[in-house]
This record gives sequence, structure tokens and C-alpha cells, in this order.
Amino acid sequence: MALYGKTRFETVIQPVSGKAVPVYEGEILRITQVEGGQCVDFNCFNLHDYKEHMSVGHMRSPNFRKKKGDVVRSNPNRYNPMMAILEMPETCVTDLLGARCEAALFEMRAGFDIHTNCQDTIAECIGEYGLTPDDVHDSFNMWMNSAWTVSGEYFSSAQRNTAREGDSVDLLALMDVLAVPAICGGGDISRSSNYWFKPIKIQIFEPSDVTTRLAQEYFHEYRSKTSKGVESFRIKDVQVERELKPIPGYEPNFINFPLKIQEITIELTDEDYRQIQNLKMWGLGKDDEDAVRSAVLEWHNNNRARK
Amino acid sequence: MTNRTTKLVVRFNQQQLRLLDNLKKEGKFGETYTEIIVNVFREYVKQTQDKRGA
Repeated sequence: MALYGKTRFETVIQPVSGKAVPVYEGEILRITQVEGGQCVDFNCFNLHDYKEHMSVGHMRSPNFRKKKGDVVRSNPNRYNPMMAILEMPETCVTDLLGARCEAALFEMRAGFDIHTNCQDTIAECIGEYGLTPDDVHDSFNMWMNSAWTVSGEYFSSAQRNTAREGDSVDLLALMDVLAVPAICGGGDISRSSNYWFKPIKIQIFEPSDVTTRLAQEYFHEYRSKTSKGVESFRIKDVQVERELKPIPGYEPNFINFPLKIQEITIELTDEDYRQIQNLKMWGLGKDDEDAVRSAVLEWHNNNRARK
Repeated sequence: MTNRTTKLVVRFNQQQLRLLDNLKKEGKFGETYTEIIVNVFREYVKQTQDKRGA
């Protein structure tokens, strides 16, 4: 049995451009390095509802470097697994912090009147589907050797790009999506693409029995029970007017609000009490109650919460 | 060491209590919130001491 179906679409993206392509559930999007050394930015939308799109902010947990076996997730309240990374070579260092480069970055850093950038490239790609520059969202960056320090300094291209010719990433669509791979526009003046733009090949493979089954398995494994779709939204329509005005009589319906608090009296031995004072000294709690509550919940996080 | 005990009121919200309810179902730390809080607190202290090499 063939792992993937036959090729449905194939093109080479030339510097500096991109392509918005529908990828249907069970299909594979393959992104291939034609020459190597090219950083790829990636956006992803629900093909049937563009307000659901990839949220790299929510993909940062539990790890900042996505790899084979991880999923592309959508924005809450949807929080759906959209695509699964079926194949990813070790040379593909991924990044979820560098939102996407934009013209202003190059203007402010180097005085460019205009420079290629991912915001504008992706905006032009999704324009084919009626989306605006405001609809571009933060990128899932592939082959981007970024780094950061514990004090929060971020280096978008800390090291040279390690992609080799022929390296490819395979993304399995877990729902119908509009996928947007784009050649990063900053690579000619940074290590992100080794100071030279290169083309990228994209292919879409039709579903096979294997990929159809895998898509269903991934979707069910990674879908949260609390994921919500438009049908559960209080405000369902997409606003047409740009001006924001309050809806008369609107009352927010916050979850579990107001919170119910229960007071529980516990009895502590001298040794317990001494340990509470130690915990406070180490910074776990500003008072005795805070220290006990924090210790109990810290224990739960360390021993019962799923990572 | 004396057997003296100190009473302390600890507040938990309904969401935090859900976690304690799960521990109640496990049965390992006691049957009441009071028992579970004290026993889990002691377990946390023990784990912390182990990590610190005490």
C-alpha cells in the first residue's frame, strides 16, 4: 500500500514569493529545499472558516521547537489540530517566536525604503482568497536557526541556515486548510537564509488509506473536549464594520464567575509549621495559607498534570 | 518535639477543588479535603527535600 496518494499539485516558489494552496484532509503538503539554506515562513487557515487559523502562540507549549510528530494548532476557542508534522529532518530547526518579518523591521534596522518581507509576501498570497494583510498571522518558521537567552534576548538568525538540498518537511492535513508557505524575505541580509534567497518546491499528495487513517487518529488524539466552534459562540457573525461600538445591553458571561471559594481548616503539627516557614523563606508563599495552597498545587502540577 | 497542633484556614476555589476531588477519587491521600491538603503538603515537602538533598 502506498504511503501517500499521487501528486495532485506541484510548483516551485521563486524568490521572494509564496503560494496559498488548499490542502484537504488526509492530503500531504511537502515543502522541499531546492538548493538548501532557505528559511520558510508558514501560515495556515481553516479552508471553510478563515477566522480559524494557526496560532503559534498556542503551539509554543510544551516545546518551542516543533518537530516530527507535533501538530499545527488553531486559535482558541477552536484549538483544533490542523496539520501534523509527519516528516521533518533534523536540519530543519523550527521557530515559533519570530512572528514574521515586516517592512518596518528592515526600515528601522537598515534604512530600507522597502525590502522583501514575510508580512507582505503572505498578504499577497492570501489575497487570492479574498483575505487582507490584516489576516496574516504569526508564522511557523521552518529552517530558522534562532536562539534566545534566559534574560529574554532573541536572535532570529543566530546561526547559519542548516537546510540541505533535498531536505523536505511533510505536513499532513487533519482538516481542509489553506496552507501558505513563503520564502522568508529577510534571508538576503541575514543568516536566516545564508545571505541569499533560494527557491522552494511544494507538492501536494492526495490522500491514501494510510494518510486518511493517520489524519483521523491525529485529530482525535490532539483534539480537546473543550474546543468550541462557531455554533457555540455568543457572537457568531464576522463583523463587517471596522469601527468598534458597544452592543447595547451586552453582558459578558465569564466562565465560573464569580468564583466560589471554600475555606478549609487544616491542623498542622509543629514540624508542618516549621516547613511552612521554610517554604516562605524560599519564596513559595507570602503567608502560611499561600504557602500551603501553593505547595499542594505545585505538587499536583509536578505529579498529576499531563505535560 | 511536642504534639501541639496549629489550625490554619486555607482557601481553595471551585476549580482548585476539582483537582483535590481527583485526588479524593484516587484515595491515596485521604477521604476529606482536610486530609488531602495536609498529606499532599507533606508529600510536596518530602519531594522538595529529596531534590535539595536534605
